[in-house]
Amino acid sequence: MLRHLIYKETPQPLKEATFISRLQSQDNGAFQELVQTYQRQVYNTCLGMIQSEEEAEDLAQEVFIEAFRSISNFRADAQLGTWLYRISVNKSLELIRKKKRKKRWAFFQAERGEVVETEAASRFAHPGVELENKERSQILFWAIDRLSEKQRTAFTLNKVDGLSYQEVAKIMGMSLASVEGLIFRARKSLQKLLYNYYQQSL
Amino acid sequence: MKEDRHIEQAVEESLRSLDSLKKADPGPWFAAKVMRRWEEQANPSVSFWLKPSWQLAALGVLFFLNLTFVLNQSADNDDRSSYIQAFAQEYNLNTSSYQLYQ
Repeated sequence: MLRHLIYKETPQPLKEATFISRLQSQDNGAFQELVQTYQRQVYNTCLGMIQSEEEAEDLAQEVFIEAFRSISNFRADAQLGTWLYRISVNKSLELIRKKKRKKRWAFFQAERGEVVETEAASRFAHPGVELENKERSQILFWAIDRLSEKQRTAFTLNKVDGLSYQEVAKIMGMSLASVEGLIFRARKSLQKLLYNYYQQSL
Repeated sequence: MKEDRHIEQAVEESLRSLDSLKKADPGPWFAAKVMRRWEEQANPSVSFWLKPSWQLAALGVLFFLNLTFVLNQSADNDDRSSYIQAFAQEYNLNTSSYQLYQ
C-alpha cells in the first residue's frame, strides 16, 4: 500500500524547464528528485532487457549516474522520460553484448572440458508475472533473449514496459511503420522459437 | 495433428503470459544507493600516496638518492683519473712525448 503511494505507475512529468536547468547546474537535490521520480521506470526497463534482478538494479543505478553526468547534452526539445528510456536501453544492450561475449568464451571453455552454467539454471522469472503464468513467461523470456537487438528492444518496450508503438518509435528513433514491422517480425520469430522449444519438450 | 494443436496452444499461452505483467519495484534503498554512488564518483577518495605531503616526501627521497648517486660517481671519477695520471707518468705516456711529426 505504502509502495503504491510512493511509486506512481507513470512518472508525473516534473516541471521540466526549471528542473532541467537545476540538473544542469549539478544540483544534488534535483538529482535525488530525478531518481525518486524515475527509479521504477528505469529499473523496469533494465529488468525487462537484462532479465536479472540483481544486474538490473546495478544497471539502473548506472543509468542515473550516466544521466546526471551527461545532462549537459540533454536537448530541451526531448522529454526526460524518453531520454532516460534511451539511456536505459543503450546501457542494457551494452551489458547484453558483454554477457554474450562471455557466454561465447564459456562455450569455448566447455569445448575444452571446463564446466559452464546450464541454460535452465539461468532462466529468468519476472517478479511481476502472475504465478500461473510463471513457467510460460520464463520460456518466453528465454526466446526473447534469442531475438536480434532491435526486435528485442522493440518487443520488450512494448510488451514488458507496456509502451505504445509511438512511444517505442520515439525512444528508438525510428518511424512508427518500422517499429510496427519490428514487433511483427519479433512476434513471428518468437512463435518459431517457442514452437521448436515445445516440440522438443512436450 | 492433435499434438500440433497442443504445441500451438502452448506457444500462444507463452506469448500471452506477459499480458497481465505488473511493474516490479527496485530495492528499498535504491535511491540512497544511487546518491552514494554518485557522491563517491564525484568526490573520489584520494589515495594516501597522492596527497601533497606524501608526494613531497617521495620527491625528497628521490632527490637524496640522485644526489648520493652523483656524488659517488664523481668520487669514482676522481679516483680513476688520478690513477690514469699516475700510470701515464710512470710509463712516460704523456701526449706531448708522441708529437714526433710536428
